[in-house]
Amino acid sequence: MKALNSRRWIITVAVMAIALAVLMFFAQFVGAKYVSPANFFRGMTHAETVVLVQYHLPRVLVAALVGAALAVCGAVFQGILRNPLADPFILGISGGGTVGAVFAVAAGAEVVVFGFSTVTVFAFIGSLGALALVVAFSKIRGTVATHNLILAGVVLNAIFSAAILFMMSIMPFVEMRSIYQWLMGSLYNAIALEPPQIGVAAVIVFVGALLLLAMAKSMNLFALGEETARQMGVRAERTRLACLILTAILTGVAVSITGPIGFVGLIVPHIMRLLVGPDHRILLPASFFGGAIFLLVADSVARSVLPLTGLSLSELPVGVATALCGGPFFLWLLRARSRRAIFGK
Amino acid sequence: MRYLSRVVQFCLCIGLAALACCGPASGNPALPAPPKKIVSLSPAVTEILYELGLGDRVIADTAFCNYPADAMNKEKVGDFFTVNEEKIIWLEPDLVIDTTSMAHKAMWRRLNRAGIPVVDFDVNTMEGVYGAYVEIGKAAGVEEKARELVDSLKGQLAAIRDRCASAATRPRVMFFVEYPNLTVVGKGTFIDRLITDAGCENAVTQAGWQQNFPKELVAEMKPDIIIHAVDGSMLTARYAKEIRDSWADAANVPAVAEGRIFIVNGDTTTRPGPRIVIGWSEIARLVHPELYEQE
Repeated sequence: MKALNSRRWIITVAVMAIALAVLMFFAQFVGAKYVSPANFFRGMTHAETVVLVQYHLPRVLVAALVGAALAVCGAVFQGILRNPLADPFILGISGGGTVGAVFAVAAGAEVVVFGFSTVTVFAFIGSLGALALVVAFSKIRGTVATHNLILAGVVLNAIFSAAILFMMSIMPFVEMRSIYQWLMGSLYNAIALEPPQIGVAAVIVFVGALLLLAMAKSMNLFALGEETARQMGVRAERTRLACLILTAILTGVAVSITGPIGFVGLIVPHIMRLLVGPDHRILLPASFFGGAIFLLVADSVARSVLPLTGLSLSELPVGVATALCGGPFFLWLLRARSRRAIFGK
Repeated sequence: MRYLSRVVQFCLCIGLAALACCGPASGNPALPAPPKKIVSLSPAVTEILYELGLGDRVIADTAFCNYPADAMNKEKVGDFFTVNEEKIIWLEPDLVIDTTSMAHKAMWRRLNRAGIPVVDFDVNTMEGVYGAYVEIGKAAGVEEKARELVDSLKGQLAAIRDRCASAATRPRVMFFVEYPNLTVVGKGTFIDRLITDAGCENAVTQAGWQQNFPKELVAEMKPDIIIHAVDGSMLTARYAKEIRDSWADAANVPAVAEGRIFIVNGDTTTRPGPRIVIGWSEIARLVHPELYEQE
C-alpha cells in the first residue's frame, strides 16, 4: 500500500463522491416501476413526479446517509476495539434502539420531536441509553476495558432481545403492524420523513463523521495497541469515550430512522481497508462514501427486484440484499486473505 | 482540511439541491363524485363495494380480498402488513378506501398530498359497517341502494337475534380466530356481540382479542361450545379434523366431551361485511339446532 498523501486522499474522496452522486441520481428512477431518466428531462407525468419526489428521493437520501453513518461507525469500532468482527451494533446500540421503538408502540406513547415520529425518538433515546449502560458496566477502576465493552455489549443485546420479545408478546397484533417494517430494518420508513427531518439527520451524520475524522490520527495509534497509543501521547480514555459517544449518536440516528440494518457496518470497512489501506485518515471518508454507495445500491435492489420481476408486490427487507451481497463477499475475503492481511498493519 | 471542506461543500450541495425539489405536491383534495377508479385496502370494504354494484370501479385491492371471485383478479397493492404506496400512485385512483388504523395515518397524508383522496371506516362494529355502506353509497351516487342493503342486513341480523332469543339455553362459547396459536375473542368486540345475538354467552370475560391463549385456561373456563374460525382458503375437512383432534387431550371441557367443536369459515364470520349474516345464521344453526328443526 502506498503511503497516504494529500493527492491520493483527494482523488479517492473525489472519485467516490462523484460515484455516489451519479448513483444517487439514477437510483431515484428505480422502484416498483421503472421511470425512464429521459422523462426526467423531457417532463414527467403527475404520477411520475409524485413517486420520484415523495417516495424515491427520500429513500435515496436516507439510504446514503444511513449507509455512510453505519460504515463509518463500523470502521471506528473495528479500529478502537481492535476486533475485526466489530460492527456498529456490537455494543448493544441496535438492541437498545429496538427496545425503545417497541416500548413506544407498546406504551402507545405520542412524542414528536422536530417532526420525528415517536418510534424514531424513542429508538434514539434507547440507542444512547444502551451505550451508557455498556460503558457503565465495563468500567474497571475508572477505566473502560476493551474486552469488557464487547462482552457487556453482547450480553446487553441478549437482554434487550428478551425485553423485545416480552413486550411483543403482550402487545396486540394490530399494533405490531405499525413497527413491523421498522423491526425488519427497512428504508421504507424514510418516506415518512419530511425534508427538514432529513436535513437534521444529514447535519448530524456529516458533523459526526467530520469530528470522527478529526480523531483519525489517534485511532491509528489505537490500532497499535492501547499501551502504545498512550505512550505516543494519545489521551486514550478520553479519545475512546469521545469516539464511542459520536458513534453511538450516528448509529442511533441510523437505527432510529430505518431500524437495524445489518452487514453495512461490518463489510464496508473491511472492503475499504483492502482498497485504501488501514490508515483511518482515509479509511473513514472511504467508508463514509462506500457505505452510502453500498446501502443505496442494496436498497435499490431490495425495493425493485420483486415488483419488477413480477414475483410479488412487496419489497425485500434491505437486510436480505445487504447480507446476500455482503455475506458471500465476506466469506471469500476470509478465505482469500489472512486476518493479518485484512486487518493488521 | 481545505480539501475536506470542499468535499463537505460538494456533498451539502447535492443534499440541498435534492431537498429543494422535495416540497409538498398539492393541498388536501376534495372527495370526487362519483369516484370511478377506487382502490380498496380491506377485504370487508371490497365486499361492500361489490355488494353496492361498484365492483367494476375497483381497480385494485389487497391480497386478502378473495370475495367475490372477481376481486381476486384485481391488481394487488397490499397485504396485511404492508401497502405498496408507490403502486397506488401509479394506478392514479380517484379514491382510496381503507379501514381505520393508526398505523396508516401517515400513509393517508402522503396520498392526500399526491392528490388522491382517502376515506376510512371503522368496521369493527356493525354500526361502522352500516356507516361505510351509506357513505360509500353517497359518494358513488347509489345512496338509495346502500340504505336498502343496510336495512336488509339489519333485518337479517334481527331475525337471527329474535329466533335465538327464544332458545331454552344460553351455551357458553369460546370463539377462536387463530390456530394453532390460540387467539380468542373477548368482550367489547363485534364478534362478542354477534355471539350474544346468536343466543350464546362469551365465556371469555377479558376485553379485546387474547393472543396466545393458554389451553389450560380453556379447561378452567369450561365452555359448552368451541368455535374455530378458519380462513376460507384453508378450510378443508382434513384441517378441520386436525383442529378437532387437537382438543382430544381436554376431555374435561364440556364442549370437547359433548363433541361441540365447530369449525366455521372465517371469511363469513369474522369479516365485518355483507356476508356476516350468512356466517352467523350458520353458527346459530350449529349452536341451536333445535330452533331450526321445523324447517
